[in-house]
Amino acid sequence: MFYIQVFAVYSLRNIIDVGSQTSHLLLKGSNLNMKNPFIIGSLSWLFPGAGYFLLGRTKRGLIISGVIWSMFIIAIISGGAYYPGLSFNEGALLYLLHIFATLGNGLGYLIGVFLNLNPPPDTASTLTFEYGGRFLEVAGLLNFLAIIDIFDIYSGRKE
Amino acid sequence: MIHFLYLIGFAFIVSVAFAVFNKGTEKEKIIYGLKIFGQFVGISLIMAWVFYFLPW
Repeated sequence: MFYIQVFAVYSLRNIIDVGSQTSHLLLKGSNLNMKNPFIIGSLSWLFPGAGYFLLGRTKRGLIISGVIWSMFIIAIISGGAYYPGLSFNEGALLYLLHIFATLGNGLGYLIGVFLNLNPPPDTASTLTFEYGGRFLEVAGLLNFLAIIDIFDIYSGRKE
Repeated sequence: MIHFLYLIGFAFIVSVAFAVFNKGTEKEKIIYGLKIFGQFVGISLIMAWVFYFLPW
């Protein structure tokens, strides 16, 4: 999955390089400026670390996307996708925090939701699924930090 | 044992991410990452022993 993401981002970057010669990329009949920070932010959220590749920070992108996807894969192997989380009745704030944190995974969140549609019957007896749930949340939160870092680099606040 | 492995894995991954996010030279980032990793593992083990002696 990690290699697919690197390949996809590099392909996208080549398209952007071609597009940047005219400063705009024609997509589905409309002019879409690929240097738009919201597009970079959205892609960074959907594919963790993608924004670094778009800004030309390949080494940083490889490390951060590797770290976040590793955490996500450990979470899935541990059964984190089946972790029910906290229900709204147990506390709205904790419930919202769980949703907010897991949403940070972007594509990973959708994979988690898809996997959770058919949880195996012995989920509750799995020793590690609570760890998986925590790893899933922290992977999402790390991606939020990565997006903020990408915006800092984009705006010139950070080298 | 599996708990300890998860602790080490968590500490390693988060330390690498924080070190990369940190400002400074490459050497400073490595030192910062190692420091955070040590703090994660060290403080967790200290807390584990403190909780072990608590009767409740």
